[in-house]
Amino acid sequence: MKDIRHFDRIADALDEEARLLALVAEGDSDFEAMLWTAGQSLVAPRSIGRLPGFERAAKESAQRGWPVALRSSGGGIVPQGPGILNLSLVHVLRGEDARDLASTYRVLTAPISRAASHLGAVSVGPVAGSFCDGNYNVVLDGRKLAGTAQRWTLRRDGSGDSAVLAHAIILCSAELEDACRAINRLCALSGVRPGVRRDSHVAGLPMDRAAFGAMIMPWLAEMDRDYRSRLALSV
Amino acid sequence: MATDVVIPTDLWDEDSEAAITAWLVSDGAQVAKGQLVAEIMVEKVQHEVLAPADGTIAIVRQADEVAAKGETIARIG
Repeated sequence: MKDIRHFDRIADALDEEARLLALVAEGDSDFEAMLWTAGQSLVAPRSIGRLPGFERAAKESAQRGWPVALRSSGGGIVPQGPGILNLSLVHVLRGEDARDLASTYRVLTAPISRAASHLGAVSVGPVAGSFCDGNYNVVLDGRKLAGTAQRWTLRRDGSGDSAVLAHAIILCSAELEDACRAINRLCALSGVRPGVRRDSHVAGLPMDRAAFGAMIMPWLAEMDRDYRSRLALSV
Repeated sequence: MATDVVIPTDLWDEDSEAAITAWLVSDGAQVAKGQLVAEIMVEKVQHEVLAPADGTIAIVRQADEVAAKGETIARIG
């Protein structure tokens, strides 16, 4: 992987993630990585899409320049757009390795944490007031730098191994004021309590997303090599 | 005899409860053993729940409800 891919439509990015997950689930690949960006939009879990007020809220959001796509996984609403970089890792988990959630999140957060380590104090944990909060955000100086989530599916070979899609949304140089306002507005109109605060997220990195992506790429290449050698040893 | 569809006990080590994020079949639908019937989420990790038997599914826990490992979320008879 040498480039950051751009998708004008977030739906196309989600389709590409699904394609990579299917590759690994079908046994056609053991490791895939993609750094990508998408046009300005909001991505909401399907559970919010079921709420009675959602359809009208999504229409109103699109009219304000924030079209809404639904994703199959849970969690909260996240933004996409300028200044936001995404990292998608797809890999195999052998049966006995597949139960330790902290370990599988470390696979995803390690390259981001390493790339950010010279910018301040990096940790992993929840950040109150951040969008789609969870226990495995990458946190820079107390503010959310990256949010994470995963999707696991059984490999089709009957081995009991899993294919994992791990996704991180990295806030490189995002002007998040509008994004937070758009998320809170969509929540309120859909009937969900809004509570996203701009100051829970990084104020911006001293580099653009292409530069931050370039810092992650060597770690991904190393991970790819390590991962393939570990798999070669385990079969 | 009915077969319970339960939250798997072997997908994660922690004691965290799972949220049912989606049912992919309707209540009363015919399902086949091994068919993907529901998605659950724990710690923002989405897992799949497969039908353990052939038959008619009766959903007992709805989408967005929370359930612990081993809890019955549907029955197949």
